[in-house]
Amino acid sequence: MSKLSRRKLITAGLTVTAGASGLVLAAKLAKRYGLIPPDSRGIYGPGETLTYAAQRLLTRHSLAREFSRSQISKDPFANEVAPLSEEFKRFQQGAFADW
Amino acid sequence: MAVTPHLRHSGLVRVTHWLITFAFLTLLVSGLEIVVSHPRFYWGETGNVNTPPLFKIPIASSRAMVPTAYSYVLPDQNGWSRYLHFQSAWVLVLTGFLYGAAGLLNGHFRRNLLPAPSDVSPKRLALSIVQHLRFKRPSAEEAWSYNVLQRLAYLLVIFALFPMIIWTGLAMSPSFVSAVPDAVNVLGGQQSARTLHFFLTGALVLFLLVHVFMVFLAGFRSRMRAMIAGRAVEPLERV
Repeated sequence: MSKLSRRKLITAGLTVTAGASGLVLAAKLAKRYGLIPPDSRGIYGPGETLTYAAQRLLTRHSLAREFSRSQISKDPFANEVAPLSEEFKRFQQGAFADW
Repeated sequence: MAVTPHLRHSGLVRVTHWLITFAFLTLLVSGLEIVVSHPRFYWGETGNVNTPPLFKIPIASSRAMVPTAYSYVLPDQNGWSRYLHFQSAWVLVLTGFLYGAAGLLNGHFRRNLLPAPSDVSPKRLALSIVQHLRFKRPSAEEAWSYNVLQRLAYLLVIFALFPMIIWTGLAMSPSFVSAVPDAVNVLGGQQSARTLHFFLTGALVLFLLVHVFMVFLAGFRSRMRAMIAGRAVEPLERV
């Protein structure tokens, strides 16, 4: 019992209590200031919460990035579209008269 | 003279070392999955399948829109890979801050990583490089103090490669860049940040391979024992 003194036990107990209550307080404050995202639960919750909170705190007074006119693309890029269904193609051939 | 069994690596060094190792390997796997969704790299601000790439990785892609030399599309892993990448990035950054702050404040960097000025002379550096290339096994004293090439390599990884890979990673985030526009402008654009991020990954992977090989050369069991439990086998002085 020489390694585990009363002083060490009390210090450890106080530290754990202080740490736990600090975390609870931080979570309460975070919720009040809108820093907890909808996807804060689940396996990626901690990461998503940290990213969301960091972005909220960092960009409170930020404006969107600005670009010069010369940077407008010559070939605009369109995102991938799901393949058109046969039904849609039939409507398309009939100029959507039966739509 | 009594034997002083003090620790080779402190508890903080050991815990942060393995946390960073785990985070880095997770970042590597998730990051490679992200590359697979678009194995083309560009330079400047923009780049897509309609613009000529700086270079292509000759693999199949998990997106049908990306032209590759293959007739099939790999399974889409974009969901979990991005979530995991950002979560492990937080583990790396928070642990890194802890290690960096502690190391600066308690003298760990100054005592254990900073090389002696006399050791960085061209002659002694050349000698150390030659010894390493000859796969010469280290002396007993080297179990207790990093040699000059080790110190320079670790300082490069801790203070250059990791900060830069974090910077280029953040430069790809639209929200971060709206708060700190220079983070991406200095690099030449978002696609430049992505390409640099990829090359820095390569440099860190190279470091990892050389590091593990050197640990094997020096004595895998003794070095692992020192980095897990803290105690090296040989005490500094014998009775």
